[in-house]
Amino acid sequence: MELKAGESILKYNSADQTVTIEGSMRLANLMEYDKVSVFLNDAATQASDKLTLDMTKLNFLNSSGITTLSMFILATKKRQNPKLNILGTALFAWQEKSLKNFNKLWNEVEISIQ
Amino acid sequence: MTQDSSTTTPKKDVLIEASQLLQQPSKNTKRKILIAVNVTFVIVSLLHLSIQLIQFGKLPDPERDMVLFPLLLIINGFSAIYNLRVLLLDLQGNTILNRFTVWSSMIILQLLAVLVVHTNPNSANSILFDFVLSSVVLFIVGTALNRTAAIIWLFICFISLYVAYHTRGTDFTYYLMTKQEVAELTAKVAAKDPAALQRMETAAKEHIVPLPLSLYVTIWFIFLLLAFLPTYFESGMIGQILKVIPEVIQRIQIASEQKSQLERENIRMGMELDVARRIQTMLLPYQDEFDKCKDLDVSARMDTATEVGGDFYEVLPQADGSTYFGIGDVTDHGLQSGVVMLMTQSAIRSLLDGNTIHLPDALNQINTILYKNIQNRMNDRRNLTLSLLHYQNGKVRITGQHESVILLRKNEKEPVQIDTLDLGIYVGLTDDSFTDFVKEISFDFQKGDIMILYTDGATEAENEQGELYSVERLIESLPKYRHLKSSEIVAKMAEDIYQFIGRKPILDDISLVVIQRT
Repeated sequence: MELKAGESILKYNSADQTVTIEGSMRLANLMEYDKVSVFLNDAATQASDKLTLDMTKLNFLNSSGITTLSMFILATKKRQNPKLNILGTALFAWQEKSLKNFNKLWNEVEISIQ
Repeated sequence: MTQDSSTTTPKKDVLIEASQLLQQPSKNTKRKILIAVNVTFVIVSLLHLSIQLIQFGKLPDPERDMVLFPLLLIINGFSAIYNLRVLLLDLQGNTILNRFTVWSSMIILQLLAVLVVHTNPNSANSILFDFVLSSVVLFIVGTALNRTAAIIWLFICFISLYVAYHTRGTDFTYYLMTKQEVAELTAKVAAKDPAALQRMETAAKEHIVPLPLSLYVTIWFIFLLLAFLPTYFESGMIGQILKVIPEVIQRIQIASEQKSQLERENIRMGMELDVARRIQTMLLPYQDEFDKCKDLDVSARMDTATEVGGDFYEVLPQADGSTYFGIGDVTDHGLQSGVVMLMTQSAIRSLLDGNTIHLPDALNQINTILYKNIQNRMNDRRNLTLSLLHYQNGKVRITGQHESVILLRKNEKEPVQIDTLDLGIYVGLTDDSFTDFVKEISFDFQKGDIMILYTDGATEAENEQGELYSVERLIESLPKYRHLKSSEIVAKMAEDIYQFIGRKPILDDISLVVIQRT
């Protein structure tokens, strides 16, 4: 499963239940992020118990994108399934702040900064 | 918040589709005509050559035929193969080759048409029969090439006809022989009657050699075939064009509807943008309110992007000499962001202005109000970063997550950043455990200290090379203006940002609030 969102690509690998987000995600508004929401929810449905979001190659995410990911985390928290594991990097400044917030939204989200 | 140019894929242009529908039949028709004519010519030429060689052992006019036929076989043969390949494989074809094959094969046809008329052993008959080829070629040239080529060829035909007429002799009269006369003459020639042989010799000299009817039938067969093929494809094309016309009209109607819808949409969006900008800016505090802040010199500015980006700041001087500040940024842009900003302003004013309230409590209440309104009423996902500050007696308390606060102490050379990351989370996004994340910290704010509040429109302002202004540049720009009044610092710092971005338009609202302790 793959989705091209502006200058970024989302890929879901069912073998290791991982969504990889690469590039720079800066869609114009929240409405344009709907397809990203659908993609993430599909991946969460397919992943049985644990879903990894690998953002180590995501160099930029705008505020509408952060909101979209936040909403996804809140929705997953509500279902309590699957457990989320987020891989981030210290290389990109936005991740430090946002990943910490993701953990605040659901304290069971595992954050690993590489 | 950062905006980006639209990434939606454009719809296929219905007008281009319509024009393609109309062009498709004629495009293939020319190629089909060319292929049919060339294939016919090559086959007929090969047949003609083999019949001549088998039947007579030589070509009728070796000087002409040894040049013309190889040329015809090569050029028209190549043209047929090339165009057939382009047609069958649905290729675009090479522009030069497309032109070359059509022009060269037409010129060969024309050359042949002229030569058969003027080099025929029976020049009287050539006017009667061979000239028909010129007429057929006229039709082929008109359909395969264009109108101008057809006109030029028509004039060549007129000249050719006139020359043939003159060569034959303008006073020449056709006499046809009866079957019996023919039989008598043939018998006399067979018996080598001198008068009959003399007659045949004179006839040969005058180019009125008798020719068999079968030859004329063959010639007419070729001419008919040549005239029929272009007619067949041309009328097929007209039929196809007539068939697609309703579809083309439908496309044109769709295009026209799309255009007027787009115009209406543009007007609506223009109005919405205008309303959004007015909402966002109409509730911003004025300079004379700043002047009421005790012990503080305050100034602020907001430069809105074309599509307003939901920036927000508030300055509320209090009767007790303290001042509340707020700074925030709503996700996304447009009318809804403006409405969220409006509600935030109202909530802040009602909770803080004239009241003594613990800042985290105020932020919690603002979150609840916004969450309920945004999620339940507006059915939206917008949220905002928001920091609330309270200055009182040389001390600033701050809560809520937004950008950092830049603080330049009187006795320090470089400013420091006060991080707000751990003071809260997005406001209006969730009402679940929001309070757990709201914290308050405080710091001293003494005489001569300067504090800058900003939104990411300032730090993420982009220049033409795509570089961001960055918080580092914003920090660096402050110390050199520290001796100025706040209103001048705001102007200078904004000037530095504009200097950096150059001619690139601002993509997001830029807000700056400068607070100096006096």
